[in-house]
Amino acid sequence: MEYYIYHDFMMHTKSIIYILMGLFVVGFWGLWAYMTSRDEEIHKMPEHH
Amino acid sequence: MSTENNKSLMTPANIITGIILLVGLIITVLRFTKGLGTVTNLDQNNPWGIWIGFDLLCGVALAAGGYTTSSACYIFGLKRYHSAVRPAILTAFLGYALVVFALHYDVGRPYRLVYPLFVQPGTTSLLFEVGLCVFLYVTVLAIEFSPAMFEWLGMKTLRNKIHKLTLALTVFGVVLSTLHQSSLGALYIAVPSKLHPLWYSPYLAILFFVSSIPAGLSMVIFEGTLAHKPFHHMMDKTHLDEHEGVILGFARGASIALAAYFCVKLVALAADNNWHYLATGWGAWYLVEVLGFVALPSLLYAIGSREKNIKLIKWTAALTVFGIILNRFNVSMVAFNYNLPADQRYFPSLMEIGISIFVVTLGVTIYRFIVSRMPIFFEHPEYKDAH
Amino acid sequence: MKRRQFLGLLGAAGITATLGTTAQAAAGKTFEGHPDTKGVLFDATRCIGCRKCEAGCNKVNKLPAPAKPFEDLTVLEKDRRTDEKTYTIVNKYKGSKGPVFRKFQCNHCMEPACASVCFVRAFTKEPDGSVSYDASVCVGCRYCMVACPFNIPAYEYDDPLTPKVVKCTMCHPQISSGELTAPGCVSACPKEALTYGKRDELIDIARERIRKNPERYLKHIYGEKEMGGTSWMYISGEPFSSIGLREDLGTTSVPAMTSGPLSVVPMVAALWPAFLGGVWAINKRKEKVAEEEQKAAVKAAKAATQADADAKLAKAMDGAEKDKASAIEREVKRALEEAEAARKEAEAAENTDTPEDNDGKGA
Ligand code: SF4
Ligand code: SF4
Ligand code: SF4
Repeated sequence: MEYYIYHDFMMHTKSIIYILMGLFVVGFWGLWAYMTSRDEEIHKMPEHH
Repeated sequence: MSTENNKSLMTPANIITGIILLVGLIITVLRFTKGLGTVTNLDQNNPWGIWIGFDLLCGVALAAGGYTTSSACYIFGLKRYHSAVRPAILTAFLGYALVVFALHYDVGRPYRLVYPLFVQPGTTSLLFEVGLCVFLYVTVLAIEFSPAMFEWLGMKTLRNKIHKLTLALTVFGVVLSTLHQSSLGALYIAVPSKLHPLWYSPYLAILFFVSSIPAGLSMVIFEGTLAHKPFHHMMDKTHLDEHEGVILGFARGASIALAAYFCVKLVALAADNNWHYLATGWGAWYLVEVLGFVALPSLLYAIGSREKNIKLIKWTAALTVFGIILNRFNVSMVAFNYNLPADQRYFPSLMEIGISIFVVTLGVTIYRFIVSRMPIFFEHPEYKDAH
Repeated sequence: MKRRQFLGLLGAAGITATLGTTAQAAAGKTFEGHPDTKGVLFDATRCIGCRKCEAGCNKVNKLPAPAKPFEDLTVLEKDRRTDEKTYTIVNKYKGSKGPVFRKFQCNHCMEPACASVCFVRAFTKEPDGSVSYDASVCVGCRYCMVACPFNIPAYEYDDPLTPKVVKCTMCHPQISSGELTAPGCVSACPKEALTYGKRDELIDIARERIRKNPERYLKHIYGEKEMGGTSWMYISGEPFSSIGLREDLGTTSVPAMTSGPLSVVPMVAALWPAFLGGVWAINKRKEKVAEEEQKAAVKAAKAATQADADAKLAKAMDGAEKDKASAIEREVKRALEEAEAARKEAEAAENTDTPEDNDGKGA
């Protein structure tokens, strides 16, 4: 689609960027959860001995 | 655990509270039956008044204690401020909840307040950004605050589940706060022709964000001071022991933050080459704000924390809070429409002020209700893992 | 003023100073407006202040009757602006050669400030050049009124629950439905002070008039560039600021001004969590190291004390053997002494036997 005014162009790009931002948040959270999901087990081991 | 309720309800404070709430309700009815025109002094040239300038801008800035305190404790690892986190989160949550509540008075069609989020988002608007962040942040604060409620209600599993999310919530809270604190300033970036050049700056976003940090820290000190006497009996040993450390540490942080804010203010002035305005009446007023309510409190905080002068720090906190309110008033009302003739300028009506006082009173009342019941100033004996 | 956009970007970028590309990326494209965008040219040298345009607008838009009839020209003595019942007004100004009049209404900006700041997209720049307003989504935040550099949108403050923003529509509904061919105000003008047409052509007409009568006009078309350009433009023989048109607005449009802070928003969302997570991890690591060091220290200390204690115990056992004999002797002696004392006490109690004594026992 062609944009004749800057405002319409911005509305299009910013809307996409807001969606991206939502994905960033979910992505960061997922990455972090994945990365740290084994921390608990490792942490528990020395306590058992 | 006797609370103030056991005393007579007819204390002078309670009577005043009652009167304010009653008057507030009357104005509320007027607002929603006769319209904004009857209740406010708003007009076609001055669409935003004290309900935006105070309730929204100041409310959000002064509720910044939530994200500053929780990030200091959980992210920057300053565990000794832990006992200050819950009161700060509570104040922030109430602050934001009341901001949203107050907006229902100001906007023409409050029942459509969710439209920007769910019906037709206008993503080029900085107000959309503010709305989205405030909406998400109120939710985050509610979740962050909920453990206190669950402890009070004895709902263990739920409380422990949410407690595990602390770090994620804190990070998310800081992101959201950074965004909407700055966007509130950026709202005015669209109006270079209406806002006096001394207050208009392309740096408005940064200025609002940076100033929210000392505002939040000062509010924590200020509010801690106010709460200390009446709720002393609700505070546990940790809270009382850490209290002084919190004040000294926060004073130090606020001093530095104010100094940084002062620097940005100067840069903003220099960037637009606005020095010559300093010689005008507006310039005098600007200097009062920047020297009297930014530079001075920064210095006083420094002296206070160096000399361990708690009393001085507490007074400085009040000065800083006042200074931030002054700045928000200047941007939104005093220096806004500065080019209009005097008779077309805005001054709030008594009923507008009445609603603002009503909202603040409502906040204080709910605050008192909560801290005298829930584990805010003390740690619940069954949940000592909070560290 | 152009500098503002760049500064805004930089200023807002602050911590992320390297990211000043977003606005430029958009600036690389040029936006010329809709191809056949229309507009109106107002010629202040032709306007006689008859208020016929006000009447025409009132009629075609079915607006409420004015407080004073349109024939009453005394209202011109007062400076007026558009309000919730009036889309357009004519004001009178003192010119160097007698009074000058200037009609005012929404300027239908090329990059409308109102549209840019509205958080529900209530305003649309239509292909015909008009900026339309959709009351069915409007929340009534009034940011559009704050942002409009020309102070045009008005609000129905007296409507408690369903207030609308009110402004000139450039007769978009009537023209697109074929009801009108030109805006009501334009057709009503007896002096042809208003010209409706394609914006490009209007600019040509304006240039032509200025070129032909240089003594009659100032060499400026107000609205060609102001705030990014407007569909409604003005030419005049008097300085524009003396006929109530601000000359200090600059040429930067509001979307261009706000693009700086807006472009930083996603950067905060993307970089802050990473940064804060890093700080947190560093502190956590520090804590852990400290904790482990402490643990190790405690362990070592414990081991040391253990050895020490063992040695002491052995010594004590050894000594105890030798001391045993004398200890027994001591114990026997003490037991005898105690028995003696108890006997004496019992004797004393017998002498002063009272009921109170029994009560006092528990204490
Ligand atoms: S003049 Fe004001 S209301 Fe009209 S389009 Fe421009 S910004 Fe919007
Ligand atoms: S008042 Fe209505 S039209 Fe104006 S900015 Fe707010 S929502 Fe948009
Ligand atoms: S264009 Fe239409 S709505 Fe606008 S002032 Fe003229 S008649 Fe009124």
